[in-house]
Amino acid sequence: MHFSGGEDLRWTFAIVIFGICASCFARAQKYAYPYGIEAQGAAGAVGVDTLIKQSPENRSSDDLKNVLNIRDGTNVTKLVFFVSGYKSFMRAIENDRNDIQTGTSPSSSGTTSIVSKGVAAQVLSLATENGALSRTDTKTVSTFRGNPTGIARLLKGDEVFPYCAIYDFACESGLARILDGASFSVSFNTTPSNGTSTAPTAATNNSQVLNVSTKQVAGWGVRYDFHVRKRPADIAKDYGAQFKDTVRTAGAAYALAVQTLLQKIPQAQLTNWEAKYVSLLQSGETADSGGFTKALSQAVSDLADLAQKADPQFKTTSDLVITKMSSYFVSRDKLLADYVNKVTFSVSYDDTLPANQPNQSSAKFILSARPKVAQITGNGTIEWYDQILKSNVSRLRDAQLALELDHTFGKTDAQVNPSLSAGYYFQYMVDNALLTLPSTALAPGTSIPLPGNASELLNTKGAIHLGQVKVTFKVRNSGINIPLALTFSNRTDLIKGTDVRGNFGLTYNLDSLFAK
Amino acid sequence: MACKLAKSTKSWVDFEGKIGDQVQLGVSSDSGGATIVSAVYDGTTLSAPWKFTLSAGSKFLTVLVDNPVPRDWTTIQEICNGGRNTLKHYPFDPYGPTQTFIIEAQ
Repeated sequence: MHFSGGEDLRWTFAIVIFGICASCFARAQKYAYPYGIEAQGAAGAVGVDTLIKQSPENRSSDDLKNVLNIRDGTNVTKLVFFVSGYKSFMRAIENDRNDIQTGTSPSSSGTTSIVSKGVAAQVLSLATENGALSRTDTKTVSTFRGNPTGIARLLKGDEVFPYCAIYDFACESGLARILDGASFSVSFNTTPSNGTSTAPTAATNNSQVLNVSTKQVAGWGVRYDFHVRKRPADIAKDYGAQFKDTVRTAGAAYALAVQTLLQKIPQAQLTNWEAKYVSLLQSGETADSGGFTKALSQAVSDLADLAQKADPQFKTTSDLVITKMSSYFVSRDKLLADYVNKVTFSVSYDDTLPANQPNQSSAKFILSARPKVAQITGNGTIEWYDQILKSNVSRLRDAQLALELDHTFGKTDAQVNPSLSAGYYFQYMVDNALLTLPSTALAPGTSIPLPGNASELLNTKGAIHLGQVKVTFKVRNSGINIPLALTFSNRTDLIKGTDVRGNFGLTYNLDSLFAK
Repeated sequence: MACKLAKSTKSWVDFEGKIGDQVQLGVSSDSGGATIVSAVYDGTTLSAPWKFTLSAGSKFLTVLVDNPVPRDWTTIQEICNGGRNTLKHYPFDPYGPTQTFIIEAQ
C-alpha cells in the first residue's frame, strides 16, 4: 500500500499506538457481583460487598433478605443481564444513540455530511460515502474511525464500552475519561486511478483533470471530544424539572416492563429460593469470597431457572425490559446532556489529500446541542495548504461555517428509524485555488515522472454557499446507517456555476458488532 | 390524608392497606435531586402527583426514580397529612433505578 501522507501519517500512527497502550490502564466500573445489592461505598449501606467481609454467622437474615430482594432495581437489572445478556443491553444502547460521527469530514471528496457530528464511535466505525459537497473532485471514500480506548479494551478482552449514566462521573477512571475523548480517522479512495499519472490532453475536459488521483489515502485526522460538566450539587438543583414527556413515556414503558417481569416469578417458589440462599450465605461454605460469589452466581441462575420454568416466555419479557431500559437510559441521557454538560464541543485536525491539489490541513471546532426535539451541530473550520510550492497564493486556503439540524422520526424500537437533516454550509475561498498539474517530464534516464507544477486556478476566490437535505435510514440491531442526501450549491471549490449533487453512503458502526 | 399503608408481616407482601384508600407517593434524597419519573400500579401508569387508589388483592407498585447523584441516600415515601411514611430508604443505583412493592388491600 502506498501512503501519500508521509511523515504526518507516521506521527498519527505513533499517537494512536501510544493512545492504545495508555488505554490499557483505563478502567470502567461495572457491578462487582453477579447478584445482590451493592453498597459501593455509600455510607451506612449494607450490600453484598459489605456482607462478604463478615463471617457467615454475623450476616443477619434481614440484611441478606434485603440484598437478595428481587424487587429492588439493582437485582432486576442483574437478573435481566443474566437471562438476556449484558451484551444485548449494550447493543440496545448502541441502537438508541444516533449522534455519532462515522463518515469523513465535510471537506472530503466523498462525504454525505455537511457537518462533523458531536461524538465519535467508541471502538471503530466504517463509512463508505460517494459524492463531494464543496469540492469539485467527487469520489467514493471509505473512512475508518477509531477510539484508542475502545480498541485497547477490545484487544485486552475487556468489556469494550460499559455503559455509564451521563451523570455517573465515577463510573470510569480519570484516565479512561480523558482518553475516551480521543479518536482518529483514516480515509481511503475506494476507486483510485491505476497509480500512474496521466498527462492531460487537449481532449480531456476539466473535471477529468481535476478527478485524477494517484492517492489511496484520501485523508486522516485526529480529534478530541470535550465535556465540561457541572458539579453534582448544581445538577441536583432543579433536576426533576428537566424531565420532559418523551422521557417520562420511555420511563413508564420501562417501569411497566419491570412490573410485568416480576409478576411472572411465582411468589411461593421465590420464598423458598430466598430461604435457601439466606441459609447458604450464613453457612461456612460462603465464608471466603470465592464461595460467597459462587453462591450469588448460583442464586441468580436458580432464580432465572424457576422463572423460566414458570413461564417459558420469561426470556422474551426479560428482552423487553432490556429494550425499554436502554430506551429510557438513552433518552434520559440525551435530554440531560445539555443540562449536565455545560458545554459539549470537539476539536479536530484533518489532513486532506485531494486529487491534483497540494495536501490541505484543517482545524475544526464542533459544537453540539440538543435544545428540544432536534439535535443542532455547528462547525467552524479553517483550512490551509501544507505547501504552496512556488506559487504566490495565500497559504490560508479557506474558512468554513456549517450548521445542521437533525430529527429522528418513528418509535424508538422500530426496525428502521429515519432521521431528517437540514443544513447550511458556507465556505470562503481566501485566494484562488492551487492545483498541482501532473508532470509530463521524466527523471533523466528513468521512467519516473518528475513532480508537477503548482498552478493558480483563476477566478476561484470567493464564497461558496451550500444547502443540504438528508434522510438517514438507521437499521435497528445492525449498526448500519444509509444516508441519502441532496445538496445544492452556487459553485464548487474549483469550478464556478451552480451545482446539484446527490450523495449517498453506507456507514457501519462496528461498536454494534463488538456488542454482539 | 392520614397514612394508608402499613408494613406487612407476610413475607411476600411489603405493605397492607384498605380497598379504596388513596395513596400519594413522593421521593426525597440527601442531595435534593431525586425525582419520580414514572410509577405503575397494577399495570396502570400513574401521572404526577402520583396518586392511586388501592385495589383488592396483592398488587404490584413499581416506582422509577432518577437521581443525578449515584449512591445518594434516597427515600420513597407515602405522603400523608402532616407526615411521610417511608416505603424504602436506599442508596440510589443509576443502573437499577426501579423499586417495586407488593401492596395487599382488603
